Amino acid sequence: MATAIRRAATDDDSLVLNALWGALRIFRVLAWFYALWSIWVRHAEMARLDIALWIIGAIGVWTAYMYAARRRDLTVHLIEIVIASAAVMSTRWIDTPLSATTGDTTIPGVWQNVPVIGVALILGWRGGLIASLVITAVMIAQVGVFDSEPLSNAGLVVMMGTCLGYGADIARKEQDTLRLALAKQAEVAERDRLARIVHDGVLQALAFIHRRGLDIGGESARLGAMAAEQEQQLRALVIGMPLPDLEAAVDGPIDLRRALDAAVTDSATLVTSAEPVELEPAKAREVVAAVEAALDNVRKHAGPDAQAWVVVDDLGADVIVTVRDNGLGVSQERIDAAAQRGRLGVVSSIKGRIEDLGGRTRYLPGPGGGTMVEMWIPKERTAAS
Amino acid sequence: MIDSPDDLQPDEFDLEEVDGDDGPDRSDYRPLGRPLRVVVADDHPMWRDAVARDLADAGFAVVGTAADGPSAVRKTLSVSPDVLVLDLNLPGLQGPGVCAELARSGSTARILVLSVSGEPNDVLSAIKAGATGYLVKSARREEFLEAVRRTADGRAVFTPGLAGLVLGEFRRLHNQPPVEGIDGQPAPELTERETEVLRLVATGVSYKQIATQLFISHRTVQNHVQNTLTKLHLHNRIELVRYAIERGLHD
Repeated sequence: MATAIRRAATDDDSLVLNALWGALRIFRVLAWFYALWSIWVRHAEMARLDIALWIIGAIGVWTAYMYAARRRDLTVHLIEIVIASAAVMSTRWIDTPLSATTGDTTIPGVWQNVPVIGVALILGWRGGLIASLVITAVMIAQVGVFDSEPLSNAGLVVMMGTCLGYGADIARKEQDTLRLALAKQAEVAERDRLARIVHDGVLQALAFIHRRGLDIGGESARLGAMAAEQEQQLRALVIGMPLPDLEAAVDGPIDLRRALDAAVTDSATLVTSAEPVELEPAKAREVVAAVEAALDNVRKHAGPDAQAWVVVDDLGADVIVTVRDNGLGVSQERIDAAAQRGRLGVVSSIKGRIEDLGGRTRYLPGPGGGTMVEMWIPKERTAAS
Repeated sequence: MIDSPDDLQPDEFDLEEVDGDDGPDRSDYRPLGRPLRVVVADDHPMWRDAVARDLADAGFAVVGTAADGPSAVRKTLSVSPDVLVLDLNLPGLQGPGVCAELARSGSTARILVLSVSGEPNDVLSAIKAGATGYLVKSARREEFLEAVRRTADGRAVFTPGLAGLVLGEFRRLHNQPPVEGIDGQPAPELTERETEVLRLVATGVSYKQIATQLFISHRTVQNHVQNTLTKLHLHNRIELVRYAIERGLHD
């Protein structure tokens, strides 16, 4: 995977460069036909039409070779500059008097710019500039007069060479950045994969210690419990549950399951659906606080051996959160009596929080002993609140 | 219920305990004296060996082990054990895939998922694909052995955690547009009673306590739990058929 990305990236041509090379390949052919056509147009006045045709034929062979070979190396483009220069110089002796003396046109015509583009694509703006200056110099030399038609064309040629070279530079830089990013991405993915393997091994070992510890009992059971605690924490990490705070920072609804996961510890068990249960952050915080209060109550009053379960039941429009323990429990009569004497401290604080959210709370003896607190929370704020 | 007396066990799921009072209609189809045949699939040799040893010590016949998904499928199909004890995180083919593959091949082996993952979606997928029980790896040996026996007997092994997942799945299905069944029958929903029982199981209440609470027999509680699983499997088959039809239409 990683090597595949790296191989694709070292093939340094970006989409942009590929497109430019493709365009140049076509342009070379069109430029040759244009040169042929313009020779046909002025063939009557030409000094040596036969030589001109030989030359254009040679350029044609070269053009065909370049079209077929798709070469992108510097050597072949330097050769092309020599060919173009020679063809431009020949204008002086074989073309029409007008072309020979003023540089109105040349034998290869626009074809002479082809190697300039090639060099610019390979070497960047500096290469483009130099190649265009070489061609310009040859054009001026052909006419033999400095202040002439070629000079005004020079501006265009130089600008073309430099600009295309600059474009190639940028494309190449982009490509490097992209390659770096891809390499980095592959590296991260690989590290993640390794982390998962390592973590899985550790998880398995911790669970193993936990199980064996419980089987042996005594001090080993305590060690087993420690292993189990680590296992749980590591598992939460591996599953990659984002922190509730982080979710809140991006201001979306947060997953009540995750928010509770941090709050439900020790001897309590969190039971949820596989799907996220989304609540707006402020609401979720209140629910978590209410559950924490309920669990606190269990710790204080249900006895040392009590276990608790926190069940999140998502009804769609509402959520029911149930906290049950299997501790000492209370009878309904005692709950009512305590309520009448205003001594339901913790419970009333739970009630208060949930009612502020537009919900309801039920406090009842749990099935088979213990107590049960049922909190019913509407997801959308009701009109009553 | 083994209401784990030690608060040292922060286990996510505690095995619902088995009371001995459901004897009469226990579907004990095994010839007397034949040990239960079990295949163990786990990619960690440490676990594979420990689980196999525990089973062998307790008189079960471990007729095969597998270290990856595809070989778990092959082994199970070739030796047709009573129970496949399946880890979820298997190379080659994940646990849920193994369950689906076995269901497709018409395997009669019952599947008990024994996993460390705790990743709720994996557990739910495996159960939907045909596993009838789930236990975390850190469950004690006795709980585990009992779970294997129960699975072999065709009884669901429900922990509170699994009850929560199944309940959540039915809630999700309920909130979706109603689904047509395969023969135009409406897709099954949970009855009120089943929902109630499932919620109680999720809150860690034992079957016996649920029976007392609801004034029904222990056996009825068990049937309700079993029904939820049957309906879930039916749902899964409907979803698979619909998926196949949709794919067929698009291709």
